[in-house]
Amino acid sequence: MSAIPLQISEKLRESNLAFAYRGRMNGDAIGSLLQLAESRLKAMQPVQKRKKNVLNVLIEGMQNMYYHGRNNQNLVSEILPTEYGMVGFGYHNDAVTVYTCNLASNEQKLKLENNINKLNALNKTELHQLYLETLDKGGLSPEGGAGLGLIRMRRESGNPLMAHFEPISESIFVFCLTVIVDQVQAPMVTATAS
Amino acid sequence: MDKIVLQPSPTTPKVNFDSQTGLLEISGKSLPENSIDFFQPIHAWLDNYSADPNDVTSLIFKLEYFNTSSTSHFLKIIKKVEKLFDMGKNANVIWYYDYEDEDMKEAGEDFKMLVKLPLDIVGTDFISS
Repeated sequence: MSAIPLQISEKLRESNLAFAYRGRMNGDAIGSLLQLAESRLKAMQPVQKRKKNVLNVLIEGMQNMYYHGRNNQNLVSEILPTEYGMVGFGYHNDAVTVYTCNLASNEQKLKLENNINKLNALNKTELHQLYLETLDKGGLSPEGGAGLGLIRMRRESGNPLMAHFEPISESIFVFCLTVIVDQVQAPMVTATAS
Repeated sequence: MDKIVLQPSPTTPKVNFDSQTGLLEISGKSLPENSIDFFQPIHAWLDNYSADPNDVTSLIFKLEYFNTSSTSHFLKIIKKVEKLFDMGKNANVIWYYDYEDEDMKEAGEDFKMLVKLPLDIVGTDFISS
């Protein structure tokens, strides 16, 4: 089976893909991919002013892949023998669309859906307040995650975060997040839970 | 414990904390695989330094990129320097950002909202894009 959900594969094809990576995420990969992404973005003149926003979304996506994806890998080693993760972006319709996919457990899926719905409903001021409160609490997961990644992605984008979960076993999903960074930053767009 | 110096890598910043001068500098990219492992020796050094600090301590950030797990560690480091300020020492933070990098400027402003010690946000063009 393809571990990239069909819905995401189609979007990737439509999105004038400039950059994509699939495989294991670690420090070396993050460093190399950031460099490559920077050089690809330099060639996209219309989005120069949002370049940093795209890279910051990408950085958080790669961090999620590293922190969350690998913990679920051993549960699906027969289906996905190599460590799974995907990150990429493309330019289409005056916007850069960033895609990140990693494995998520059923428990993580419920938590992510809940978090994303909440974040999408917040306006700019509310998001900023939530960011400051979460930062000030200072909690870190055992891997070092600070619970700020999705908040930052939402703030950098200004658009609602779009999540898609594709089941690959009874308890494991491929979680794909699509984040759109417009050429010109629009006022924060909110979305109610679907 | 005169100094802690960590050379930069594609995902970790240059760290140069000098107890003799009181200059504590973090620069470059901060995207470590495991932020706890990376920052642990820095926190430990700063805890030791805080027991017998220089009269003047200046914490300087000159960052290009960072991930959010680094953000939490930056705030912890800033708060440790803030304790020196609360003790009556001359302690401050200088947060440099590239003129074109509004996000980095806003990150400095976020930290400033969470602490009480002097935190200056300074635009510059020395960080290459």
